[in-house]
Amino acid sequence: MLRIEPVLLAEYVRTGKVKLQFWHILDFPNSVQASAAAECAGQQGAFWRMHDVLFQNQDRLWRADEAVLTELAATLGLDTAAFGACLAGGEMHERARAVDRATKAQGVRVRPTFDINGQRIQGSPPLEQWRQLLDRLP
Amino acid sequence: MPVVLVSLIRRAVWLVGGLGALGLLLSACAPSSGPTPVGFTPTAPPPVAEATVAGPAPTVVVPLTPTAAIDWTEFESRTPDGLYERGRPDAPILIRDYSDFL
Repeated sequence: MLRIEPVLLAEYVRTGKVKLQFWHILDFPNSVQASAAAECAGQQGAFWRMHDVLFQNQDRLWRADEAVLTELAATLGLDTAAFGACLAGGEMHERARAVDRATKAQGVRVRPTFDINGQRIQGSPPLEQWRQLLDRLP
Repeated sequence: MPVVLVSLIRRAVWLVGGLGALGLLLSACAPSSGPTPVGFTPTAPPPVAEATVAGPAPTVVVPLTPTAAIDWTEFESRTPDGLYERGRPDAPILIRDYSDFL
């Protein structure tokens, strides 16, 4: 959803028609580190801003260590000491793993997967298909 | 003469006793007319158990501006399970996004 998300945000979320809810999937060794970074940013009220920054820097995440993630947190103006302590604590890693287990328990096997008011979409449809889906819902 | 006097006294005793019994009977049959309670206090409703949920409490920022002026993309909140949400809390469409950042 990386490329079309800004459009969905502008056309549907900003206007109050759509609400997004994020569920972690951890398919790669460094996935948990990135997800924990988002959760730690969330502790400072910046989960979604970190979510956006992580996707914008996706290429760096494959080998991202704590220093890289803290650098990204700094670009958002977060308290980097608190952010680093949160990452080091490991609690948010466990949190991300728990959400990943809950995701997979719901039968999600493909990433990304979306549930739109309960209707499951696997993969990332083109923007026009998103518009058709969302425009016909109330 | 004394016999007549004794007889009159006996009748008087019976009469007084009969009137007393009649009074008791009437008071027992009459509807209760006790004092009306003043300053009646309703009984407090029984305590209702609150559902407990796992995870942190939702963090919801209460908007201070009218709905039309809100940019809902900036509205971050959490579900009772701790999942992060973005958008108007009562939006008619919910998109669950199952994704990996990588």
